[in-house]
Amino acid sequence: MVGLSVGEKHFIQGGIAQDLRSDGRKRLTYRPIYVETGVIPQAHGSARIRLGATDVIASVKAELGKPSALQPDKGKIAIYVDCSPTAAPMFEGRGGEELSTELSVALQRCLLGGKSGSGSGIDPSSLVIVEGKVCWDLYIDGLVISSDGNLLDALGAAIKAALSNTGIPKVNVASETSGDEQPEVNISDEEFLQFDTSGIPVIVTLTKVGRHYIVDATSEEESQISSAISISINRKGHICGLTKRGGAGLDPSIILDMISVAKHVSEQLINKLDSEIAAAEANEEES
Amino acid sequence: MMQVRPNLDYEGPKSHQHHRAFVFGFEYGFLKEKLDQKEAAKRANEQLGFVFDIGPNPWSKPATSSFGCKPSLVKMEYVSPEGLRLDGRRPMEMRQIRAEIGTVARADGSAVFEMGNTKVIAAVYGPREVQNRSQQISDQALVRCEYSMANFSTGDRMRKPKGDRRSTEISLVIRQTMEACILTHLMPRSQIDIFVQVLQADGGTRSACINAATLALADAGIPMRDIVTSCSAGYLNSTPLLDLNYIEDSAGGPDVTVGILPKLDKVTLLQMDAKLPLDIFENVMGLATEGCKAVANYIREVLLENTKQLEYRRGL
Repeated sequence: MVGLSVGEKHFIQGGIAQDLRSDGRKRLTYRPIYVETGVIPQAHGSARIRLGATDVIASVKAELGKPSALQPDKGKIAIYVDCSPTAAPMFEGRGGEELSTELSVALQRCLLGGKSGSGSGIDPSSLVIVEGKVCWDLYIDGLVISSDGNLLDALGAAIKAALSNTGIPKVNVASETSGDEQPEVNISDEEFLQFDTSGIPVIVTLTKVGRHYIVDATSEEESQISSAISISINRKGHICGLTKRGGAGLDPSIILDMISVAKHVSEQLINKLDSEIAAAEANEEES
Repeated sequence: MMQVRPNLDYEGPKSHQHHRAFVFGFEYGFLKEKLDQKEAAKRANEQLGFVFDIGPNPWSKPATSSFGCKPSLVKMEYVSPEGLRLDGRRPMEMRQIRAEIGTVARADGSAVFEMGNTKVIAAVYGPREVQNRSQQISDQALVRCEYSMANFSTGDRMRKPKGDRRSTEISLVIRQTMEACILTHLMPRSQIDIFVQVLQADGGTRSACINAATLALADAGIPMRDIVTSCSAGYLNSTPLLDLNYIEDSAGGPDVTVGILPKLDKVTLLQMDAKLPLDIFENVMGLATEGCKAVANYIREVLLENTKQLEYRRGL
């Protein structure tokens, strides 16, 4: 990323203070979102989201596995994000690992709930086939192709779109087995179960620049942040996860204010995203 | 640069997706398939070399789990008696190519290249200041390349997308190929980074990466002697086949990858797996070179179209 001069920094901060950002947006406006589903045919579900110049792909793969002994009635979900070096030269080799880990953990916190699987946006008990023996392991992979700020929001939206595009094959358990035997399962190639994605939250990142907060920062604006909060909110307006980044301290009242602003913004975002996803799926079916 | 060497393929998808069982051995799959296997084995025993029906094309449907073995194949036929390959192509026919320039806005040059189901993104950053002073060359540009595969690019999910032996080797191959055609002496003490990301792998990723890198370098405006195009060819069922896909590639037959500079008519990359008699090798290499020339024509068209668009946008 090219460094910013002092004049440019003032320009960005001044613009935000006057509710007019460098690309003409208001503080709480998102860039246009383009959704494409089914981009990876060999995955069970996939989506590609473009948020301005930020480009991310999410893919969902389901493999059969054994549920953990502590939670025999729940499937397993893993989220893993990789930053491709095409996004920035510094992601070459192991350079992107730090950011990848940060994004993966933030997404897990926002979408998957606590360690015991409670409060998850995706219901893991819908993934179990035979309790205690066979379940679906869901692997959600995100790939950042091009980065222009606001990666977390884009990845959250991509995962939501990919999950709504996911078809888990129907499974027939072949025979009754007792004890420790693994039951034989027959995976049908034809029928698929669609995932219920109405409960999946979206992530809204509010970045505080100076005394105001903006939504959907570009990478230039992100270089000026004092602190940022990423909140995942679902359709009902419930908060599913919260992450604060940045070194500056925040007054608690400001945090509560940011949360209410995020809730307000998330309603529009969820509606916009749902309509874009529906349009993308309709497009995919036609082609 | 000619390298003829044994197969360096990665461990992973090849092993359990495509078991090849010979006539007298077979693996048992699901309960349902056990009966079918026995029937097939009986028939195969009666007629040696009986052609068995292959399973669904792994790339047309979502990957099924590797919980049980896939139904195994008994002596595959890659070219049918009518002369059609597994995906319906003729032996001398390439897969459909599609290219797009300028997909990654932040990069100096970028391109997406698709050869059939293989999809690759290349991004070029440079020429820029050398990051590691010790590697700086005083009279030339430093060319670096990294090849990585996405987790979801192959049928079975890959756990380690970078840093494995195959990725390192392909990075080296792409770097050497592109270095041969970039006019590095025009940009001393600078660095050019080529990053290639595989989104979908269905055979021929090496060739698709080189083609994508060429387009990305052209998009970045880096001076080159000529464009580099690449294509692969193989030899199965006594027929030379152009542009192998994943199934044909994993059949264990020879796989010749050729990279050429079309205008200068020079070969910059030549790699082969397995073994071939010399006269057949000349045939197969000639076929791959023809494929490269066809790709070169397409790339030229795409670049011309792109320039016209740029002219139009500038109001010329």
